[in-house]
Amino acid sequence: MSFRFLHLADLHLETHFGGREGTRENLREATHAAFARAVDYAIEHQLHALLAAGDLFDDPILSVRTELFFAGQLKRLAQAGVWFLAACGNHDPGGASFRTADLGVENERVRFFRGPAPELLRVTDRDGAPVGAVIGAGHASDQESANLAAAFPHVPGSLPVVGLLHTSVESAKSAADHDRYAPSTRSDFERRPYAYWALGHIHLRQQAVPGLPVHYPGNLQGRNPRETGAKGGLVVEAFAGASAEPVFVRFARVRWERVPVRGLPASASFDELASSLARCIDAQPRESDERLALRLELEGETPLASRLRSRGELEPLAEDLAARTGALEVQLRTQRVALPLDRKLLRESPSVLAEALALIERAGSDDALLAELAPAELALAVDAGAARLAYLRELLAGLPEELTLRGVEAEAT
Amino acid sequence: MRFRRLHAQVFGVLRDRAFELPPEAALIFGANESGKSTFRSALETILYGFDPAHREEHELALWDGGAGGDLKLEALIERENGLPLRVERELLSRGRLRWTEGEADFTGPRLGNTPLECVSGLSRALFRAVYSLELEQLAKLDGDVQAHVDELLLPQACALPLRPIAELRNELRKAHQSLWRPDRRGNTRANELLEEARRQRKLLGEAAARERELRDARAEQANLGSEIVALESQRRELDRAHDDAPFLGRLHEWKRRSHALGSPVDLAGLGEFAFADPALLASEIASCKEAEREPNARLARAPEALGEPERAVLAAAADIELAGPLAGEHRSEAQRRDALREDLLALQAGAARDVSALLGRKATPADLDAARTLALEALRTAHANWAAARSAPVGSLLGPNPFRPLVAAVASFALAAVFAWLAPALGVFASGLVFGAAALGSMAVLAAIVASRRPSPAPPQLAGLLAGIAPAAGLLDSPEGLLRVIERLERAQETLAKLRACEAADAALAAALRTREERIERLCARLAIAGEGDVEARVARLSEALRRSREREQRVELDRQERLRAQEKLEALRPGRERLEAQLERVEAVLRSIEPQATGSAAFARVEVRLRETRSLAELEADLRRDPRFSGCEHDARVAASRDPLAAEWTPEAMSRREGERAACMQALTAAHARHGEITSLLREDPGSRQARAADLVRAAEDDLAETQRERDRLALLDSIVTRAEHAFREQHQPDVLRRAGAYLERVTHGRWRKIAYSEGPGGGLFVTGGEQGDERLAIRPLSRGTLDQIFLCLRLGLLDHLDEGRERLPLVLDDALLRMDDARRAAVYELLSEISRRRQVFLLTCQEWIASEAERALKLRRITLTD
Repeated sequence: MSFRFLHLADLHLETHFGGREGTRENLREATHAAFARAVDYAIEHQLHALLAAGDLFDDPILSVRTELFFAGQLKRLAQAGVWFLAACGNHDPGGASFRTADLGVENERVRFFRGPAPELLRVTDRDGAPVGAVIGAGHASDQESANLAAAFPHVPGSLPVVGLLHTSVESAKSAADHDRYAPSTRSDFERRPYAYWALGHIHLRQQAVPGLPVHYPGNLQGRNPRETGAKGGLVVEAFAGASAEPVFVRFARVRWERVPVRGLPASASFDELASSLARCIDAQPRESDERLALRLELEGETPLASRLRSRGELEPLAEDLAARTGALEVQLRTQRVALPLDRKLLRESPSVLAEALALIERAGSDDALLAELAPAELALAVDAGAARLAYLRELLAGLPEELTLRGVEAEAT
Repeated sequence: MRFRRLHAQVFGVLRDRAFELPPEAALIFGANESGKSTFRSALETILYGFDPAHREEHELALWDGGAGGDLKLEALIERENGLPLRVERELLSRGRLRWTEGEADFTGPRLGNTPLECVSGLSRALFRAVYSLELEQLAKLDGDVQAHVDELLLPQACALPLRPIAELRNELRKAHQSLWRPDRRGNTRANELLEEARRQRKLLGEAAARERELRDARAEQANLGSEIVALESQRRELDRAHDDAPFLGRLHEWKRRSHALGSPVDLAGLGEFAFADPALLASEIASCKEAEREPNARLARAPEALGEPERAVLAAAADIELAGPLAGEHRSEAQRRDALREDLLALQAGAARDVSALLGRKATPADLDAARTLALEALRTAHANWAAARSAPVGSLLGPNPFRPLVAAVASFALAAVFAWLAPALGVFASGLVFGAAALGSMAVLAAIVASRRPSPAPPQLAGLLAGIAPAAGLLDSPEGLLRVIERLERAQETLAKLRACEAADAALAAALRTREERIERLCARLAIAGEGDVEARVARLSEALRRSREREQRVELDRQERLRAQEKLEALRPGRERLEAQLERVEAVLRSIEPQATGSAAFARVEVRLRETRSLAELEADLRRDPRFSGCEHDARVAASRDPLAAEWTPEAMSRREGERAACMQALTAAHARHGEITSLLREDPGSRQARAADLVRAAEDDLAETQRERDRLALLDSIVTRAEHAFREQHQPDVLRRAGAYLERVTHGRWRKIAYSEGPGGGLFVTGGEQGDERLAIRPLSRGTLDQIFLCLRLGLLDHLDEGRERLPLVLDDALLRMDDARRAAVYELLSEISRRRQVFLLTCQEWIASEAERALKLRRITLTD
């Protein structure tokens, strides 16, 4: 007897999006639609359960409409005899003062793991026969710092056992990009020979611990250019005493991609540049039901470098590209765009510009000099000390090209 | 380059004025308004062109209203390579340039108002600020020129075209100050975004409030759901009570009344009869008898019958009715016969009158018979023959026909008239011929007269034809007389024929009248009706008898029918009365059995009340039993007969109270449903994610703000770095300009001030080093005007050297620039200018005689006086 379930995580249903208004609305809708598609999939394939490993919601204060939508989907699952099991994460903590504690959607087939103590639940099929055991634990607060995985018990028996947890596995890829909540390590999972660990928190789909059935499905719908690629869930068929191998199923209709663009046209024609970028976008593979949201990272020398640094020039270009290619969103990053110049000559000729470039270089490695050069008062409020220096270094990073663009006569290019 | 000749054909006050200029230095002297400034402007115009380039705008073109013609200058310039350059500038509608190498004539088209090639890269403004100076301009360096000079003071040597550092710094400063300022002043982008972020946060708060409202509404909806369930339950109870209470009330009423009634009234003794009031029955019986009284009286009277005469008359009714029209017919026929008889008498008189006239005496009946039978055709034949015989001798002039002689007479008289007309032609014979013809005519007239009077005898057969008729004398003497006889006879025969027809009709009428009279007489006799009087009187009597008989017949029939009806009525009334009598008997028996103590109507009334109650209860019971609730409620204690009806829950008061509760419940339910629907709509129409959307905008504003602040810090850092770099660069590379200027200043001030320094930024500017202590560094502001003039002159001299590095050295023009210098320093300046004039041409312009004289001596110049 196998235990078949769909593993989702990090739905972030009420996310605050950036970008243009149309993009924000599309993404908001796409997140809901992706969850509805996942539910459809679970019902259609008669899975035993849908496991959500935390962060169902982005904001603890859900809108009523989203709450109704969520309740509606759970009702559909319950009517189809599919279990819905969710472990609370840092965005939807299960403590009594948080929204998840009072959703009012639970029934005999809907269960939330709200507290840090692991709870065991036997999942049955539609006829009431047990098919698997799920051990789950949740974040009681939005800043859970304890290692919850360490407390998961060993469960003997003939049923396949699945661990459900929202955790930051330290060895996982891009773990550093996420807050370190409920941290766990490889040893936590090695000690419990579960058939599968359904984790959440890291938005990058991956096997979190090599050699062990510990998986992040990634978030359900990419929300920004950092969350690229196809997004969806993992379909798992678990057997007792064996490690399960998940299969990815795409549910998201909007896919974010970051596209490095090198070899910019040598001409100073904006139209030519736009055509070149549009070709790059068109070359991106996509599914028929997918819409792309792209961040184009331009790199290289172009006579248009100065204009490409201007927001007033970039935004119309991005909108034009979106209109040309049908992409949902196009963002342009041009920090690495430069004028075609002999930089060695610029640096070596006696000039204030060369002096300033040298000064920037020295300040990069001389904190005292950097502090001396910094404006007396900064507009962005940062703490004094290391944070201030880090901020100043961050500011310093783009200055050489900025100075070059501003200091050299545009006609020179 | 050096100006060797300047020819101002038309240029302000300078008109056709040619100046031969020395190659090193020239002293231009002139009083005010003599053209010194114009001369300076002419030099600049030769180098850079007209300014402005349009004739309509150039002040010198307008100087005399254009009376002198277009502005025109020509110059001969000696270049540093030794080649001469002739230049001509003319301000037509726009400035024009012609130039040629050497002394050759100008060829080729005129060029535009462009600067000469030897001044390219050096702006007119810079030329004015550095090369061509007057006293007031000496200490002024402003705007772009200042920036350029600043830049010149930075001797950068980059192969790439760099923007002026001052321009870059200004741009950076403006940029980061437009984004954010430490003093928080101004309408910076950061302030705008802060305001936007505040606004969006406020909207976020409103969105959160709205979400809370929706959540409250949702909670309210959930509560309403429970409330609706409770109200529905209550309403069902009240509905049930509403539905059951009347039934229970009726059930209770039935039981209570049944209990009060006791045993039911038994009317079995009535049999088939209804239970009725005996008094009423007796009254009805009396009424029946009263109704029988009248038909009985009718039947008691003797019946009406017809007599024999009346029967006979009625039997002959058809004949009598026919006699009426006969009487009228008879009367009209009698009247017609009377008229006929009058006609008969008139015809007889007429026939007698005609025959009498023929005969000439009174005609007898025999004459009339004879006249009626005469053959008139034969008489007409005889008359024709006679008349023919009378006109028989046709060829004789005297014959019986008198017309022929008359014709002859007319012809003769006509001939006579012809002869008389022809008398002149005929001559002597004329009168004879006229006479003869007249005589012949007269004779013919006479013959006609004779012929007309000649008698004719009657035909012999005429008497036979008139057998029995002897016409009066003379009638048969001529055919005309005979014709009159025939005509009279014919009229008499016609009258007699009519007479005979009248007589026949009269006889027929008389016979008919007699027949009718006899018939009426026989009818009267048969009916014993008096026969006296005429037919009409008899018929009237017959009709009267018939009318009376018929009236009698009708009375008999009416009587019969009345009797019949009376009989029928009696037959109809009798069974009812008999039934009422039987019913009365039964009712009295039943009443006696039920109410022995009472009698009559009183007993009946009591029994009837009980009877009505019994029936009402029976109906009520039947009705109640039809209700399916009956079996369930029949034994319910609430409906027991002994229960106090006032305490029952189905009393009107209790029911009214419950109705009130039910109405209130319904109202509350309706309100709850309405509110529930409102909330459902509210939730359905809610776009959702309000807070997330608002938070998007807050985040966007905050991101924008952070990005703006980061951008400001970046630009401010860059500004700081550039400033620091510039400072370091200046420190590291002492500008050649300042060094040269310092050297000039040291010579001019005789060593008092040795060095000029320049720094940018706040507190920056020009500094001089020297003074009493020798190393004093002073900002130039507090120095005297004369010293300032010397500093700026030296700075310009340093700039000249720097600017002309590697290019044609342009002339230096000083317009009374030395006025505020003391004698010693002015002398030093002259010495310096003398030295400079060996490298570049120097023009000294002055209106001061003493300056001019002094310069002439110091520089060994030949004065060029503008007023010459």
